[in-house]
Amino acid sequence: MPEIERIFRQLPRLDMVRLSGGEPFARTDLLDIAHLAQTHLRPLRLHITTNGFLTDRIVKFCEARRRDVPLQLLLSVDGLEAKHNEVRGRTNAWATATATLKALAPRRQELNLTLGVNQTIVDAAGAEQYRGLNDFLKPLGIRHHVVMAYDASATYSLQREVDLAPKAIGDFTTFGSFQREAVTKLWDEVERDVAEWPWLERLAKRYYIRGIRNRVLRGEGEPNPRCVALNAHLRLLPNGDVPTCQFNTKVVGNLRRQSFAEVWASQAAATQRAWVRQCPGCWAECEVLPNAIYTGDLWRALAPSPGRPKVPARRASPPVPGPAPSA
Amino acid sequence: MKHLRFASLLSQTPARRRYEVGLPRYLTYLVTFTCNARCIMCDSWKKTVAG
Ligand SMILES: C[S@@+](CC[C@H](N)C(=O)[O-])C[C@H]1O[C@@H](n2cnc3c(N)ncnc32)[C@H](O)[C@@H]1O
Ligand code: SF4
Ligand code: SF4
Repeated sequence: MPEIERIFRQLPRLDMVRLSGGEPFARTDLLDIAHLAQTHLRPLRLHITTNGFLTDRIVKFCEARRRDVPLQLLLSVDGLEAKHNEVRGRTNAWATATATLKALAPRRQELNLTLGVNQTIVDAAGAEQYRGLNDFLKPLGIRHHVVMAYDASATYSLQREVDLAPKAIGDFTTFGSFQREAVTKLWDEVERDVAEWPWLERLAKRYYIRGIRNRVLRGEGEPNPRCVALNAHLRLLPNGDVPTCQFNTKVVGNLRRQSFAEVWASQAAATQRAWVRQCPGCWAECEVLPNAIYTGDLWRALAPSPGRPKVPARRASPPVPGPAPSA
Repeated sequence: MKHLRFASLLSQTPARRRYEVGLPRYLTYLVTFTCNARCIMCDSWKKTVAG
């Protein structure tokens, strides 16, 4: 914990701190980490993504945390009971996650908390459960986010320092197989539901949807914002390593062993920034949104103009390719 | 305060678009790779490095 505090003390004030994992609540000291983040980084918002299994611990965390900073808690639920349990590999995944949602939903105001659900679409059966899950969440007033699972991420790879970034503009390999009609239907439905969201969240979600549709259905990379990895967006791994981004875990330094100033000004960081600059662009929401916000591409999306140089349209490939699952 | 931050965010966007190096404003901190789930689409739980 003193090491984390030492790292946070050196960082500038931040707009957003996202705590994720692995399962962040697997750490019994998450409350201390959140307090340190709120004290030293003074974010406008704290965000935590969780599988929601540890209901008691999560509720206690929400009760005990300092509430001067709003908390955005995003629970991952990938379908209705049987599907979610299958995806998460646990027979009690649905029971525990929904218990967490039900415990926190009535207490959002008191706890200065917004509650969302993130459905990761792993395959066609998952996509078919969108409506059912939406019907479950609606009475609880919980916003339903949807992302498409990609086949592989460097961050969660078992290999160290690996580059799994797209090799061409518009590349996106889905984790599972889909017929294009199913993909179209899913995003049409999500887009209709998103129409009721507040304008900023709606804008951000539509931006993501436009990019995922274009990539998955047409192989086109539009929008394609410039990337702020190792710039406005800093990633930090559990051991203090600073990787390049979600899809390239080449490490530029370690904040447990080096100062932030040293890492940020290092030759390794400069080299990786040059790599970022020529990267064709990925489509993971956790990278896309900071990219869109900090380069202003999100606002430009209000008018039709792409972020990077005009993208060559690549051939559509029906049905949407689905590689052998990576896990 | 929020307005000031938004104004500074907007004022920095041209530099970010030119890939000029600035300070971070957004932190993604993976506090652990350990996981109590066994998801089919994510290998975090298979990683041996605990946080
Ligand atoms: C890696 S998890 C970490 C936080 C927590 N363990 C959880 O599952 O919510 C963060 C988010 O990434 C999503 N995710 C996992 N594998 C993914 C993949 N292959 N493609 C897209 N999103 C993925 C999860 O469903 C979750 O919503
Ligand atoms: S997606 Fe699943 S396996 Fe990966 S970190 Fe989250 S709960 Fe764990
Ligand atoms: S666009 Fe940025 S975050 Fe995405 S793979 Fe390329 S360098 Fe990494």
